[in-house]
Amino acid sequence: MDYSKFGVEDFLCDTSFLEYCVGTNEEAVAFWTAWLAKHPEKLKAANSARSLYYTLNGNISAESFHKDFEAFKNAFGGVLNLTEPVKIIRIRKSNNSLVFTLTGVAACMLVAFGLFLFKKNKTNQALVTDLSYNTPLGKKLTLKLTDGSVVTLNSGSSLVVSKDFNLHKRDVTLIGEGYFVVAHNEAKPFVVHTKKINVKDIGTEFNIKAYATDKTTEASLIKGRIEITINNNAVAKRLHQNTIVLLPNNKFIIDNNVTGSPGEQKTVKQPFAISHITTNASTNSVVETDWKENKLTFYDSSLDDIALQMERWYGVKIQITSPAIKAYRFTATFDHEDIIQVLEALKLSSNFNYRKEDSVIIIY
Amino acid sequence: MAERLKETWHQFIEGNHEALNDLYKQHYLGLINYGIKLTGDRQYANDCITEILLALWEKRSRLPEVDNVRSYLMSCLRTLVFQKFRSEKLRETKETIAHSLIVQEELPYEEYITSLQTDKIVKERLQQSLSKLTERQKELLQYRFFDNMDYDEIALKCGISKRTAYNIIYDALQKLKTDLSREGNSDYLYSMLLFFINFIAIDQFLR
Repeated sequence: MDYSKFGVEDFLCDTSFLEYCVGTNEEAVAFWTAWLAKHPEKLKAANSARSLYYTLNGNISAESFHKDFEAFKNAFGGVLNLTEPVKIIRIRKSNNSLVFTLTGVAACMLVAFGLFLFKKNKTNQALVTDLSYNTPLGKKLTLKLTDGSVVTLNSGSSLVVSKDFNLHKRDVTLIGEGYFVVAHNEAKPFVVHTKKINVKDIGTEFNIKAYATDKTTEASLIKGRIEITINNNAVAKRLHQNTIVLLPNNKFIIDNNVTGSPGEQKTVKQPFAISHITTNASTNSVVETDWKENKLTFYDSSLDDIALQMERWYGVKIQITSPAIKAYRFTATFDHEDIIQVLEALKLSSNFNYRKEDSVIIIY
Repeated sequence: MAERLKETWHQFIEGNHEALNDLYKQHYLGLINYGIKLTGDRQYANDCITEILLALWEKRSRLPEVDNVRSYLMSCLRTLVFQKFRSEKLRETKETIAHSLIVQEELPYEEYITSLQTDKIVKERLQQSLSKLTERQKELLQYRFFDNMDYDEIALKCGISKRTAYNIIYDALQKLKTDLSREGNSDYLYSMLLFFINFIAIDQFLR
């Protein structure tokens, strides 16, 4: 549509413009912000249209919307975490055993967590216990911590924020994968603890991948500087250094099975590696952080690793029957495709078949 | 538009978290204004909306597919607010709100939006300008901008065509715009600017 001839009344007759004014539709906001930046000559008309709109809509501005939306999301925060287990508990009646017992336990913990959240909303004081955020398989979560840092959690991850967070220091514990944009504060160091390593930030954006089921733990630095400490005295001693400083566009990889005990020293020559982060040439995006843009990316990964990644991404179970197939390697990026589309695409370039049995996908 | 609302509702029933946020965003304006009208308090109205969506989310698997999501949510909101007012405890504590409820209900749309203006000059000008509009025009402005109905819904409600609804609103907006813009001087400047831009555009085109 040609907006360049728009007058005040035309703007007001355009639904997306109204959504932009109140901020209820991100696409509309992005579009009109960009459009008005390109057409400064229309700013005056657009501004008149906006103020007339606020008059007509009962003084509901973008500011009031965002305030109300935040309140809404806060009220829902605890409940959303409950949804997955609650759904499963209902199925539990149909007599399934271990998994559901475990999710039951998880649900109880989440209920406790939810109650805690409500309590916290009321009192709004310092935390009495650690605060934990969990993402179920197939879901992601972005959260803003009290110090202003923003963390995006990938599927099947958990982040525990220590109860004295932002008092003197800022400690969080991560299992799984998270993207951190840390608000810089020299007085209160921000440290992410994982099983294998601790990452101390010096004003940064970085990605940490520390799934218990993965073969390696990775820390990729996008901006700024981070200091990495290995959580194993033996390994650290052998390196004759405690910390490794990482520079932007580099990533640190450590084997999850390195124990550092003398017996295993022979098998693992180099306990960790530093390499450049991988940039996807065609899309110009960083492979390590593609997940944040909802892109499922494999870069020269074995089907074995891909299956693990897809299990988390789609919340399914995948079994590969033959070791030969497990070793197939793929490089690909998928944007919003469903699991069948992904499997079909992978199938095209190699020699395997798959079938669905109940909730399990079997590759053979 | 209506299809988008129905799709979001469908996703909501299916348990999609994103749809929950979308549902809130899509119906925020209509619901908050209705809530404010009923309770006289924006924050309280927002709490009620949250409570409703929470209740609906909990029983989402048992919810029906709905054609008009907006009016479905509105009637949920109305029921909840009345329930709250009926309860003995709230009748005491929220007396002020209950009082303003009656006041708000009595205020017609044009008086309500005028009462929200703090600037005396703007207030007077708006009042004058609105008084020149026909009842039909004011009614449709309310449906479109205050209740956040789309043109389809307005057309259905008023028994007119979508085109007619659009034209009535467009005319009303034109009148308001002219009345409310200062002196009309800025409009002149603005059309000069437009002319100039067109001139450049044509010039570029001819090359």
